[in-house]
Amino acid sequence: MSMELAFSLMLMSEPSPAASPVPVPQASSTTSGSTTPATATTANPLVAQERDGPPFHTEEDLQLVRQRHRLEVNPPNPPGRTVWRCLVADPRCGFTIEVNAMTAYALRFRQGAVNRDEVLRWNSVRTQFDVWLNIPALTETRGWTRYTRMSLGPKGGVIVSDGGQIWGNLGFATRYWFGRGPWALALEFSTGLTFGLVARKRDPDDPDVQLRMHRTPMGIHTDVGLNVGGWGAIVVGAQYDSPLAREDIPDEIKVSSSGMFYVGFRGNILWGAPAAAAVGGTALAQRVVTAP
Amino acid sequence: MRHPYLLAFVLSIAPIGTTAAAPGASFWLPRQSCPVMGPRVASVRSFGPPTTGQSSPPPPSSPSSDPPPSDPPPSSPPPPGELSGPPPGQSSGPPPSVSPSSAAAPAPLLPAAPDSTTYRPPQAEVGPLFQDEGPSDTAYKSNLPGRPPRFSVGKGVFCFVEDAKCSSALLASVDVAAGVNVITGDNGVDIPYAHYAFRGGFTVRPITLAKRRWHPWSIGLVGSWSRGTGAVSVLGSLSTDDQTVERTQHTDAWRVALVNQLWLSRKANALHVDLTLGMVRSTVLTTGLQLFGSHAEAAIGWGGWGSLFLGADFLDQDTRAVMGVRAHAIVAAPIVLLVALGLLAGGAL
Repeated sequence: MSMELAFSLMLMSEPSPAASPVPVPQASSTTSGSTTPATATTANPLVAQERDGPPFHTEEDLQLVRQRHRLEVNPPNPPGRTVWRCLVADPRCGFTIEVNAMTAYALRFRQGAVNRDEVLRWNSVRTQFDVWLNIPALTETRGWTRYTRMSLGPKGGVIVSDGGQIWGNLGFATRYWFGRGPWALALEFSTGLTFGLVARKRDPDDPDVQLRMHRTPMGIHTDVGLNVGGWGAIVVGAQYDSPLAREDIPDEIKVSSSGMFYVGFRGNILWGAPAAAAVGGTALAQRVVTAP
Repeated sequence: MRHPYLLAFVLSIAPIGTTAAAPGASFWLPRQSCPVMGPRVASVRSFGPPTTGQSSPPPPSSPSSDPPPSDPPPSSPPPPGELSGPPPGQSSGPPPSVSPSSAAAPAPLLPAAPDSTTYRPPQAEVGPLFQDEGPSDTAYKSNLPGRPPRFSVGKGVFCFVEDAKCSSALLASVDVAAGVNVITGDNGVDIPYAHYAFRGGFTVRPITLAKRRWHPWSIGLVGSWSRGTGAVSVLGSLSTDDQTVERTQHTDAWRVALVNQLWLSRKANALHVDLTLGMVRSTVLTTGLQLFGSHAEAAIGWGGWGSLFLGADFLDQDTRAVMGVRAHAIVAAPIVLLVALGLLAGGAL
C-alpha cells in the first residue's frame, strides 16, 4: 500500500483542523465559549459530517479509497516462487540480470564495387551473446505483491557470424510484460552500437589465415522479439555497419558498409537450449558459410 | 513509505500517542489484515516496522549499558524522532513471522526518551540521496529481506559480487569497448579503435569498516589487460607515392589504477559512480615500444553486475578514448566460453 493511501486514511480518520481546508467544529462545540452551533456545520453541505468513533470512517469511505487507488477487496493469493532466484526474467522479479544467447538466420550484405552499384548478398548465421541488466521501469501492484510491467536497462556482449567475425555491442534492452504469470508473454526491444573486434583474415606479414583484431567504425543493430516467460523469444532485427572510407585512410584498412537482416531465437542460457543452439550456430557459420 | 521526509511529515501531524492504539489509524504498524486490502496471506512476508520481540528497540538502559561514545552498532535503537525497528530495507534477524500472537502486541512507534544525562554523539548524516529503500507494504515476490548480499561471506564483510552493503568486494569483470585512436603529430590519422579487456581488483569501504556504519564511499585497486585493434601510422603525403603505411596486428595494454566509488543508495544493486585514475603501459603507434601513460575512466554501475564506462589511455602521441560495457565475470565467463567453444567447433581457432 502506498504512502498516499495511508495518508488519505489518516486524514479521513483524524479530522484535524490543519488538514481540512474548511475549519470543522469539534464535537465539543457546545461547551461554553463556543459561538458556532453544531447545526451550522450540518447546514453547510461543503463541510463533512463528523462521525462518532473511532473508527472515524465507514465502509463507504474505504470503498472510496479502494476505488481511488484501484485496490481490490480480496486480492488474489500471492504468486508462486520464481525460478532460480530470478536469474530467468519474470514479471514477479525486480532487478534481474540474465545472459541471453541468440541463434538466427542472417541475410548479410556488403557494398561491392562502387562504380557498378554492386551489393554482395549471402546467407549466413548470426549468434549473439548478451548480458542484460533489467531494471524495473514500470511496476504495478496487486494485493501485496509488486510486479514489473516494463524493464529497461543496459546490455552488452558479442555478436558472431561467418568468417570468424566478432562484433562487440553495447546498448539498451527493454521488455514489456503482457501478464504476471510465470509464462507471461513479453515484447522485447533491444538496440545497441556495434563495433568490430575480431575477424579471420590474412596479413601481409603472416600468410596464415587466423583470427585477428579487426577494426570497423561504429554500427548499430536493433531487434524486436516476442518472449514467453523470460525463457526465450522469437526475434527479428537488423544491423548496419558504417564504412571506413575516408580519403585520408590508407586503402589497406578501408572498410565497406555492410549489414544484415536476421530472424531467430533468443533465450536465457540457463536452460541449455539457447546456449547449445548458439554454439552450434557459431560452429556452423564457420564451417558452412563462405562470404563472397 | 517511499520517502522518509513524507513519513516524518505524517508522523508530525498525527497524534501518535492515541493513534497507535486506534484500530482505524495504525497504518504504519504491521498488519495481518487491512481494512482496505483485506487479510494478508500467511505466506507473504511482513514488511514495514517489526513485530514484537524480534527487532523492537530495547527500553532505555542505564548509562553503564549504553553503547560506546562512538557510533552505535547497527542493532542499537535509533535516535529519537526516527521510527523504531531495524535499519530500513533489511533486518538483522529472520524476517518477522506472521502469526496472530505476534500481531497482538504491536511494537512501540517511538523508542522511549533517552536518558538526558548521557551524551550521545549525533548520528552521521549521509543525505537523502543515499537513503536505504524504505519499508513498503508491497514487494516483489523475489525479495528476500534480511539476507546477506549475494555471493558474500561474513554477512557482507567480503563479497564476490559488489553490493551496497559490502564492506569489501572483489572486482572481476570482462568488458568490450570502442572509440577512436587519436594520433597526434604527423604520424597518422585518427582511426576507430576497439578492445576487449579483463579486469580484476578489490574495493573496501574505509569509513564503513572504521565507523561500523554504512557510507557511500568505496575505494579500490584495479588492474586490467586489454587487447585492442592494431595501430596504423601513415608517413608521407597522400598525393605522393612515397607514402608509407605501417600497421600492427593488435594493441595490448596493462593498467593499474585507483578506483573511487560513490554508491547512490543502499539498495542491493544500487547505482554507483566510479572514477578511476591510474597508469597504463602499452605499445605506442607502430614502434613496438612499451611506454607508460596515464589512464582515466568514469563509469556508472549497477551493483557489481555491470556498468557503462567512458575511458581513455593517454600515451605519447597516441590517445585511445573508448566507451564500453562491463559485466561481472560470473556472467561474462559463460559468454567467453560459449564463443570460444563455438569457434573451436567451427575450426576458426
